[in-house]
Amino acid sequence: MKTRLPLLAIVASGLLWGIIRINAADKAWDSWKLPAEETRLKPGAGSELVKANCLLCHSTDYISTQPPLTRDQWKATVLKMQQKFGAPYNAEKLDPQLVEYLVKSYGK
Amino acid sequence: MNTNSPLSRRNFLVRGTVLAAGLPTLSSLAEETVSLPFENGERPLVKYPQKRPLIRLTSRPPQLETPFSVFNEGVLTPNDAFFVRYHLAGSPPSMEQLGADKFQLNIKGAVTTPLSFSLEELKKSFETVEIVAVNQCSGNSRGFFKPRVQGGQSANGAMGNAKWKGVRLKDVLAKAGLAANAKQAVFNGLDKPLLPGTPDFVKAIDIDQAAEPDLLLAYEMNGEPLPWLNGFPLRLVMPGHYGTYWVKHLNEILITDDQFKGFWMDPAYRIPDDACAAIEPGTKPKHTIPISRFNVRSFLTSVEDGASLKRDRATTLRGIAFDGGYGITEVAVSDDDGRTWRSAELGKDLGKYSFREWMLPFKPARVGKLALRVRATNRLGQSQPMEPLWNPSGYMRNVVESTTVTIA
Repeated sequence: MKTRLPLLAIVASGLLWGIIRINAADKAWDSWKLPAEETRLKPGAGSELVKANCLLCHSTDYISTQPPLTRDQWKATVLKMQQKFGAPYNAEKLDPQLVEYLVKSYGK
Repeated sequence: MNTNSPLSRRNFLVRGTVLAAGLPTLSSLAEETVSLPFENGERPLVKYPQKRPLIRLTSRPPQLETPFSVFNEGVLTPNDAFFVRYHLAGSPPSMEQLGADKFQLNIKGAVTTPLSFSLEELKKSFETVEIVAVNQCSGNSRGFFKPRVQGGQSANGAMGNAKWKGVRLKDVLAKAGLAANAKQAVFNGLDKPLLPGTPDFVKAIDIDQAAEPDLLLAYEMNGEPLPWLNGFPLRLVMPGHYGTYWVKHLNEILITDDQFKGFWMDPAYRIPDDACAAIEPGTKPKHTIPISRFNVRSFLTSVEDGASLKRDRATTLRGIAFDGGYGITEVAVSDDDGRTWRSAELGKDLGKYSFREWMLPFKPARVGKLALRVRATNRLGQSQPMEPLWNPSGYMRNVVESTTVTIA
């Protein structure tokens, strides 16, 4: 018990501090920050193309949480992003490696 | 995941210990992950401002899902657990933009008198109304579609039930005075796209619908100002209708004399134009219409899928049911694959747009596995299908839910 008590006290005060900090942070809106993006693109040839063309408007998890998509579905998605959402590329002229990467990394 | 308390306690312990050790706060990092029950369903639990750790589907723009155990905590979904869904890269708008010194709601277009209100002016100018209503994402439960469809891959947590406080849309429109040729009310919020070519998130409803008394311009949720990520300081509340219409950070109502045409009304958020909004899996619909009212849904919340129950031990099954605003009249449970059904007792009626709690005593008689199915019916006699319906956008799932338990 002798060694455990100080440890408990440290943990308890840490807890209290944590709770106070969390509540204070939640009230002071000027300190609110959105948590960082954590999902990274799977490594592979073409990932740089995805980074350059897709990740301006959305995070990687918009890609990585999709169910495995077919080549046709990924092609259609890349086209839709240009035609419906105004992605600043010409889907027809994009390096085919971009779709290859999506199929290989997040496809079926 | 069965009850929330062990999870939060563990999170606090992790956070507290780290803070005590003088390391940077962990609050922005994923402390836990969950595995939603479909392929590629791994998700981090992440803490956002004013929120407890929620299931993060996407980070930019943010989409957060409510852990299902929350729905067993009470009929009202706490603000800090309420789901979050944005569409545009410029979301959420910064709190600086939304503050009392900047925020204005403008009503314009085919009206006699264009109006502009600060939040305080809006509160003072009209009668205050409170209504308990479910908000549910059109694509709630999309991850369960078979075959799978593209879009936000949610389990069943893109819904919530809250007490909304605000003023009636119809009162505000009456003050502005609708022109004789007014056709639609068009709602826009302060969440904006990054690129000029991305369509702004704008939603339209017919003027007759806008005149109905249950539509609110809401500024409070469960007795608190709207959370930042749920539309602070003002959002449209359209009870019984899918969340796509509940425009957040609402700062503009435009009355048009024509049918509004925008991406988020057409081609987005549309359903097959038939009675069940469903077509043969894998096919394309011939005609589509804008998604509108919720269909009937019900859930068992007190027992998790895969849980163990003791034979001959009496327990109470508990859950929730809701529909598009006609009111739930019956909830029934089957433990024999739908051959027989027992009616549950309904809990307190918080209004026709609210979750309705249900309870049913249950004493399993035999050991082995069994499926508990729950099915609700509303005042119109509408109910839920035993087999899931399918549409290409993954909207409006409302199959009779089945929870498998082991009796030991």
